[in-house]
Amino acid sequence: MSFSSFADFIHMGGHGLFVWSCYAITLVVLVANILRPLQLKKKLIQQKLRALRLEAEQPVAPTGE
Amino acid sequence: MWNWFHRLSAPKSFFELSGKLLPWFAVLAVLALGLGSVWGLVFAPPDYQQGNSARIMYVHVPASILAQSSYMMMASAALVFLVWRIKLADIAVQCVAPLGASITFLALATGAIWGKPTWGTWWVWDARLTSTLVLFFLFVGVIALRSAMESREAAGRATAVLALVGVVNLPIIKYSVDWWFTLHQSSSFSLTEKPAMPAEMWMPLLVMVIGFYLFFAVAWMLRIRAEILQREIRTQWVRDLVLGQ
Repeated sequence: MSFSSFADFIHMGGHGLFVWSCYAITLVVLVANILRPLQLKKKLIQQKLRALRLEAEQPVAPTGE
Repeated sequence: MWNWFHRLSAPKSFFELSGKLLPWFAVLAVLALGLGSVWGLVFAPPDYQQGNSARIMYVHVPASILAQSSYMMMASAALVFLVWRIKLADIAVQCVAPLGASITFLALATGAIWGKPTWGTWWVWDARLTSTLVLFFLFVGVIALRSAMESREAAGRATAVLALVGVVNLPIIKYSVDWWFTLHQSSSFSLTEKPAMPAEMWMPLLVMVIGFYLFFAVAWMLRIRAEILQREIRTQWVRDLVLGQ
């Protein structure tokens, strides 16, 4: 371990702000790239479910497209 | 072989296969990124010149490597789409562009933050930094071009051509540190030579690089799956899938 205390670790020899902001940006970018497609997938499935339910409620065949 | 390849390239098969692979890749990605971050932040020694700001390397270098790789993968998918007209390849190009743009942004942002304590400036217009900025604009260009075109078929072809033309930028980025005078240091890793830094530093870096690639695989697959659902929303298999949930 290259730090003697937790405060030392946060301080990073005076470079704490630079080091921690880099890791924070990285975390945000990575997590956002995972959450975005998951949200989109959820939205698509919900839309499709709603469309199917509407279809089931209206037994009349749609008149062409 | 061809038969197998064709079956796999059907969006539905890809959706099923990626669904099985995803949990494994996700677990490995979290493990590698967690291990690499703790190793790099806590246990790796500080650099004898840069001190603790050198720990930015463990996110900056993997992001930069991945930024270039993701462009290479986008261009490869574009080539496959142009030559064989495989729909999945077009989806892959479309889905890697925002991912590549955000990773390139990450490389630029962490580089700027690292530059301040090391070089005394956030930004210089030197070859390495400028060519990486061009890489970012290439990704943004691919996204913009696609959203500007009405027909999906035409948009697919136009973005594939743009992605291929942009490949000329990759060797410029790679050799920029050798061709021009630059503040940026030369490569940290090469496939043929031993790294110049001590093992306590390159080992966590290697773990982080692997972690970033695993993350990339997960994020790309997730985007492709969502895009497949969107494009195939009217098909029977999506209907069955939605009703089976």
